[in-house]
Formats: sequence, C-alpha cells, structure tokens
Amino acid sequence: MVHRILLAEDRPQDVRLTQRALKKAGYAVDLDIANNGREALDRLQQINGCEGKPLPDLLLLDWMMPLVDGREVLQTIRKDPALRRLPVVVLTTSRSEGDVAMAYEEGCNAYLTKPVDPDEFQKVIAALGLFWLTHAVLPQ
Amino acid sequence: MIQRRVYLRLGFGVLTLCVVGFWYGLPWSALLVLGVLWTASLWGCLRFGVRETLKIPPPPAILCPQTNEPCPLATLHRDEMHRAVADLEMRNRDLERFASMTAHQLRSPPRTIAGIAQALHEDYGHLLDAEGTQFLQDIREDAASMAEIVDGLYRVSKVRTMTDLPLEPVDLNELLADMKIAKTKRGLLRPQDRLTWAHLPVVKADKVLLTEVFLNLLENSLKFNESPNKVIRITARERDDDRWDIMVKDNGIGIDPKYQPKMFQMFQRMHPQYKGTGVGLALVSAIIQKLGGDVHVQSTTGKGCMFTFDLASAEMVWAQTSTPKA
Repeated sequence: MVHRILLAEDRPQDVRLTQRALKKAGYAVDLDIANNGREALDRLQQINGCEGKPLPDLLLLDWMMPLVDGREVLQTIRKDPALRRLPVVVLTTSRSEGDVAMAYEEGCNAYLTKPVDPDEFQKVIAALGLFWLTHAVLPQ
Repeated sequence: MIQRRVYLRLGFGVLTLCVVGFWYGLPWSALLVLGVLWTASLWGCLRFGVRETLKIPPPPAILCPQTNEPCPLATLHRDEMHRAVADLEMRNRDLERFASMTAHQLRSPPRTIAGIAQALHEDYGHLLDAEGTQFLQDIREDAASMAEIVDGLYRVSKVRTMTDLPLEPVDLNELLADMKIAKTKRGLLRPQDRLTWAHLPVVKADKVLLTEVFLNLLENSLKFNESPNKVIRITARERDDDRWDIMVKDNGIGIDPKYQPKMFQMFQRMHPQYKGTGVGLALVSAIIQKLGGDVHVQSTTGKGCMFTFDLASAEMVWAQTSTPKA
C-alpha cells in the first residue's frame, strides 16, 4: 500500500535526506513537498477543494519555517473541520521545551527531533514509518 | 493624566447642558462657551487614544524608621532598583529567546553535512580510496562535534540566564539508581565496571539540572579511564552551613594539577587525544553555581579525579535565589 505524505520543510538538503531515509527504510511513499508553511496550507486546501482527491495520510511538519511556521500551520489545520483529523508529526531540530509544549498544545500527534547522526536519523524515520505507516490506523 | 472616561463624561455633560440651555433659551454667548467646552472634551478624549489610560497608583514611599516620615532618597533607590531589575529580566528573556533561535538555526547545517557525508559514503564510497573515505569520516565527526558545541553553548547560556529557578527536594540515591540503569542499558557501564554510592542525602535542587551534572561527571569518569575495571564512587559529607559536599571519585587517568585552574572554562580540553568539546565541565560549573554552590577537583596524573560540589540540604528553609555564589 502506498502512503501519501506531505512533507513541509524549507531546507532542500533536509528534504533530500528525509526522502532518502524513507526510501532506505523501505516504505512505499508518495512524498509531496511543501517548501514552507504557506505552501503546505495551500496544498492541503487545494486538495480539500478537489473532489475525489484524497488528503495525505500524514503531514511531516518542520517547526521553524519562513512565511508561515509550523505553529501557524497546526493552528489552521486544527481549526478547519475538513483538515482537523489529519495526523501531524512535527519533525524538527528544535529541542526547546517551549516548542515541544506549544506543538502539543496546538494539537500535533507526535514531536520528533532530528538527530545529527545520520544512523540515528535513519532509526527515527524507520520508527516513524513503523508506527504511522504500519501499525497506526489512520483516519480516512 | 486625566482618564479618558473623565473626558467622555465631561463631554456628555456639556452636550447635555447645551441642549438644555438651548431648550430653555439660554443666551447665545453661554451656549457658545458650552459648545467650546464640549469640543475641548471631545478633543481630549481623542487625544488620549482608544484605550483607557490606566492610573497605576505609585508604590508606597519607604518610611524612615526613626521619624516614620517618607524617606525620598530610599524610595528613589528602591524604585530605581525595581526598574533595573525589570530591565534585566526583560534583557534576560530576550537573550534566552535569541539563544534558542540561534541554536536551532545552527543545528541544521551540521546535521545535513553529516547526513550528506553518510550518503556519499554509502552510494559512492566504492569509488573512493582510503584517504577519500577518511575525509568523509572526518566530515561526519566534525559535523557531530559542531552540533555538540552548539548544544553545549545553548545549555550553558540557558543555565546562566535562568531566573526564579524552582527548587525541590531531590533524593540523590533515586536519581543515581535511575542513571545507573540507563547507562547499563546503553552499554556505557559494562558488567566489570562499578558505580556505587554511600547513603546520600536529599538535597534542594532542580532535578533536571542535577541530572545533567551527574551525567557529565559520570561520562567523563567513564571516558577518561583506561582501567580494565572502571570504578566510580559517590559519597557525601554534611557541612555546618546546612549544605552537603558531594564527592564523585573515579580511578581514571587523572588531570595534571597545573591544568586544573582552567578545566571548568568553556572549550578547555584537558586530554586532547580523547574526543570531546570541552563544554561538559563548564556546564557542571554553571549549574552548581546556579544552585548556590561551588565545584572543584582534586587529582594527579594517573591517580583518578575527585570532583566535589556542594548543595543545599532539603531540610533547610530555602530563601529563593537564583544568583550565583560570589
């Protein structure tokens, strides 16, 4: 089964590394990329407006992005009845307690920090895929 | 400053008078005066903006104990001090926000550098000779090192700018028991190594920060140690001033006394042949100072180290403070 993931990430290098890690972990993923929060919201609302086109199964959300940051994206999604149920995993380098608390308050489903070590990052992506793409039952 | 609602009431009152005066046929000159007054009150209302102007009563003056009269000089000094403290707190908050944002931005490049080096090694490593492979390994290690430095700097600056640190009783025995389990699980404490402690006190501290102190000291004791059986022993000694000295002693490689004065400074590495960033002991020192204590070391080369730091007893009535000990 191919899962649809929307990755909201402003750094192209991080996009490439995440793509590579998902591929290495062996998950069949249709990965859509948004370069900032504004693009992510536009993409979701565009999909939402098109009949027959499904929303992504999962949103991987960077926290600090230009134009519209992760917090605003979460706030907007959780207020929209059509998008409210979308599972959102924050994937960021920030380990600030304030950011973690804020992300959960705004309604993220999980908060993951990106390790510096590539092998550790691979483990995080593998664990993310194992939970969200294999075991968790996602909303339709 | 007269509050906006006074202007509104004044304006309403004057307008009422104008209408009543007109009704009862007051002379035009009187009506003109009333009209001017109403316009002036309306202007005053607009002049002082949309929001209410709050009249915050000034704090009471300090009374001189001998005369029971207000003492202007003491009051002035107190008010200046309050303003200075408020200004410092605001600057501290700005600094903390700046440090947090900077650390976040600085973490990203080393992460991707390490990731790309790894990808190059995995996908194109077969095209490289031993030197090329070593270069990629160097890139990974330096990227990891840079990320550790950024993290360490951020943690030290966060500790140094902390105010109103909430303190709680922390049982050192429980804290170390948890740490021992975690280190054993991660393979850092091997079966032949020993981490033991005597009956330790309950101290008044911040549990997260104290965990950081022990983590750094224990990691150093295990890292800078070539013994086949590594031994770390933690003991405590009660002092006269309601504080405890906590001693962490190991059988590691020790430190030459001539280098000890600078070992708690940032980026000072006593053993360059071992990997490290030189941030750990600076963080330990910053935390212990924030908890109102001091840390020092006794060591000679080849004879291990004993780190001693002091913490408040949990039985002491804690006068809330977060200022470092002078």
